[in-house]
Amino acid sequence: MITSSLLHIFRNVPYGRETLMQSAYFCRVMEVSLHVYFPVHDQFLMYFQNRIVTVPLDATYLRDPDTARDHAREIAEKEGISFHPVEPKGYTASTLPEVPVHFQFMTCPRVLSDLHARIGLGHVGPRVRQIVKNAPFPVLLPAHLAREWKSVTSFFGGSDHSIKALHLAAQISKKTGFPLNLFTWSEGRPRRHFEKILEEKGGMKELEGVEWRWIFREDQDVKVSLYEVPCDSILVAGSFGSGEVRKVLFGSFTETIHSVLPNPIILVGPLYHRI
Amino acid sequence: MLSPEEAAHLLGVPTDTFFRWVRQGKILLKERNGKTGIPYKELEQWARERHIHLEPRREKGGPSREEEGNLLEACRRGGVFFGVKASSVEDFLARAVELVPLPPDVDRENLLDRLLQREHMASTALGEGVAVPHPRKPMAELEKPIVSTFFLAEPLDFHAMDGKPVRVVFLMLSPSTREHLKLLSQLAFFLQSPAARASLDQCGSEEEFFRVLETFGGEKT
Amino acid sequence: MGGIRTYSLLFRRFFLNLDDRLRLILIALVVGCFGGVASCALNETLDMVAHWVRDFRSCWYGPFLPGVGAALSFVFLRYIAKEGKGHGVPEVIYSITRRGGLLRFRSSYTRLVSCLFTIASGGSAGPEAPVVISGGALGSNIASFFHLKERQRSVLVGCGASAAIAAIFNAPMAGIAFTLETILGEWSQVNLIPIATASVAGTEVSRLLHGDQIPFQSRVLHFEAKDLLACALLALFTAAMAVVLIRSLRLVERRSSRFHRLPGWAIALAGGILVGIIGIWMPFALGEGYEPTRLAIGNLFPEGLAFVAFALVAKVVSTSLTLGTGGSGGLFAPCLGVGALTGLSFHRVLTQVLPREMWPEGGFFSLLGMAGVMSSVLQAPMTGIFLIVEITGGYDLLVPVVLVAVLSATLSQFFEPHSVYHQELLERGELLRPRTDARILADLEIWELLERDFHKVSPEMTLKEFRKVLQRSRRDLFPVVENHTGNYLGSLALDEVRPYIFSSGFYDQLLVEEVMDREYPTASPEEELGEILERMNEKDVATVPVVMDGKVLGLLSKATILDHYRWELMVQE
Repeated sequence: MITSSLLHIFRNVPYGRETLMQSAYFCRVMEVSLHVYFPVHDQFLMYFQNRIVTVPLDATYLRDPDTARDHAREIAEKEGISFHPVEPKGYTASTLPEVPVHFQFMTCPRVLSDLHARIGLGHVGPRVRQIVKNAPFPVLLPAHLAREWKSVTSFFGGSDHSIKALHLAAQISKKTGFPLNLFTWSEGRPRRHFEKILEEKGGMKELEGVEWRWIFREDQDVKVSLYEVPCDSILVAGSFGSGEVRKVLFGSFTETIHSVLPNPIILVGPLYHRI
Repeated sequence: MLSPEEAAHLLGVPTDTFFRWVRQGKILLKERNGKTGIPYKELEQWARERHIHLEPRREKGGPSREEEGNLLEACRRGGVFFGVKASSVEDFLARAVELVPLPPDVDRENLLDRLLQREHMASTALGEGVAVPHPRKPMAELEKPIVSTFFLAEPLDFHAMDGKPVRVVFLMLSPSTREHLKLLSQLAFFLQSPAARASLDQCGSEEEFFRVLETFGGEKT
Repeated sequence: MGGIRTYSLLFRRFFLNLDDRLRLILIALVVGCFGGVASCALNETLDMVAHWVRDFRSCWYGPFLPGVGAALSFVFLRYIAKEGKGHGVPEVIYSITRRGGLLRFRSSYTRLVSCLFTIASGGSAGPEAPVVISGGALGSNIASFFHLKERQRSVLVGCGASAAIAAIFNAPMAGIAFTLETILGEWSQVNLIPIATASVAGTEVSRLLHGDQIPFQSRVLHFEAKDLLACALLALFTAAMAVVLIRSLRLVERRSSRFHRLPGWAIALAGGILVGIIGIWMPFALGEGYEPTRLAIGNLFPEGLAFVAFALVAKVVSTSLTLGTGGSGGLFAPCLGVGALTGLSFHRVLTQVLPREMWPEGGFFSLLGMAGVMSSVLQAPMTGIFLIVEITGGYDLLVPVVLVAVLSATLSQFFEPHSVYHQELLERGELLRPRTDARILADLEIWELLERDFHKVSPEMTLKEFRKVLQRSRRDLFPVVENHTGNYLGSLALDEVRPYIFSSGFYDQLLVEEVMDREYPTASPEEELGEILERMNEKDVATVPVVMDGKVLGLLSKATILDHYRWELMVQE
């Protein structure tokens, strides 16, 4: 397998420290190399396959650039890993760097600009959505406080999207050795129905060699049974599809998860196809 | 409808390259029933327009080991014969050709001819009392390689380099040079160890022989 | 919102089910219309604002106007729109070659606005380049809307550009030629049809909005055989003038970059004020210069060699000052202006030296001059030829135009071998024309070429043990990695150890770390393939290990590169 790498946008404030700690933990348990971009301008571009995403950053990203690298090194060393600074690939304008996109993961706070805007749980900033929608890699939305996760949770509703998420969740579980919880809400359909989909779409194959359990809920409210998601678990979910109506609906389910669960989430965008 | 991975395999390019071509629009995928891919006919036409042959690329290192060059399998197909009597190499080969199990359409006389031709060019004795007679050219008429093992009643002079008379003969019939070489290298590996040679001499039954082969021919590559 | 979304989904679905080529042509039609609208919008606004500004030009602060305009456009571009400097054509070309035609949506209007400030206030620059990038950006974003792939998107960027040029000059063929020659760099059938469609659509839109008129109009002109001789001579002048224009622009650029301690807008302001001062004596040198060009073609330009020559010099200087200091705009229109004045000067000289002969009118030479200077500066003779053909509305002038354009382009090539649009990319090493080696190498990614079936060896291994690895491997290069960390230490090339590996005296006691090459060249996945190949040639090796973060990812061999290189050539259309 290719040596994977994770992109982190550094923010030199305590909140940024929490996110970097989560990136570093992820990198350690996943054996992924940590690449950190230290912003020097208040915007940067990401050239994705089908779209250029402009990412505006608030002033907290640019704060105190002299200590930024030392802080990052400290956090990385605590996890016993090293980090690689990311150099912009070029400049579209002299103050507009282009951040490379060849990574296998990216960490993104739920809101990139406007630290003081709604940091409510369910809210995911528009730029972050754009990144998720256009990126070929899954995006890790860290929790507010760093906590080491010891299991993986994924949600299976039968869609292609959730199969993608399941694929990634299984990969993470295999790599880290942490158990995988798979949640399904039946919404009136029998368990056979989901088993068949899992079988047909290769979900079972993904789960081979993974320590997993299926939490199948027949008639409970989604929000209520989300309480069963372990607190030290990382969530893997499909997200905001562009395209069919069903995906739009599924997107709203993802938002429910966002608003109920404080856990870190990995969002699998529509363009993700494999690691 | 082929999946991108299958199409890449047929074109013989890495999937990474195929996905880049898709991204660059050099090849266009279709979406049907929620699955993206390319119909076989379209891929075929696309490839024809660009003079690319559609054939799956062989994985580097050739077909998997299970399919090819498994000495034990070939030996099982060829059978083991004990106490074979022969007065000369020619005499032995004539007997061996009678004994070896072959598909009905193979011409045994012709095979004997080819074996003798090869023997006249240079002895096939490997030394240490072992010989590996084989026809001069691979036997394309066979589907799978056959190795027949003969334990001679009396040691026979096979004109070996080390002058030792031969007691065990492996008759090797392969459909291709490649497979022949694979089997030969495995046999050479097996015969390298003195322990294997010693236990070979002790063999009294077919089962015993296969067991020895399994124990000492462990490395299949 | 949901309703709109559903409709746009249905719309997209409809297009997805069409045949690929037909779909591309249909979308090209849409892009063409948008490009045409953008170009007309700029033209109209430019006319309006320039008209409005004209009243202030006679005031005492008149000469300062171009300065203010240039500074404004600089500030707008740099701080508000956050765009790169320059006119944008290199950006379009770069986007096609390296980014699959991706352009930001804002590029479709930012350059228009900024060039409006520069040109309307009197700076000498052309609106064509900004229109090209805005047409290109429209094409790119429309392509992304339909989820087209890189190749098709690049074609649509070209479509937008050609529609814009076609609309501004009411000259569809010139638009097509410009795109194929300058932007895409290849004449292939796959490109040609959508681009022609867009070009015609753009022209049609501009005729609808503007009426069937053209910035330049010309009567049919007659010429005789002896005039062709004069044309050949004219080509000398146009080539020289083109070189002068390019060099003086570069000179100003270099000089102004020396003041890097000053803010950019201040430099633009200073340049603009100088232009304004020139404008006091020679108003013809201001603005995009369509007016003097029109007069020159129509034989309405004031008489006198001295005046014409002065206008010519003033135009060259003011263009260099405007564009070299940071004003926004292109070179296309100034080329035409300089060309027309060059032709006219030539005519004046000719009539003075040989007054007895019957020479064609000045307009004849002006047209030829335009074709000559343009094909030299842009290194795009076909664009020049078609533009003149379409201005004159017929092929009567074809012979002299081709003569001047081709001759002038060839002559100037000795001094300035590359188009001004390509020069910048060339300096960055990013001029990757289609079907060239550099382009194919740039397309290939290291990940694809990586061969992962390799064997690592440990530095503590004896050569005897190494022989076992060798027996199992198909390769002749073995990366040596540290035992516990897995970090790359060096490489063991089979060729290097061949002498030892067969002699029992050696192989029992030699260790891998004693024979491995720590200086063996390596590659990193972030490097460009071209660089890696160059290094391989330099060190004369056929395989290199690819190392990232101290870990070996795989091997990269020339044999695999050749395989991929051939595939790339095969799948080109």
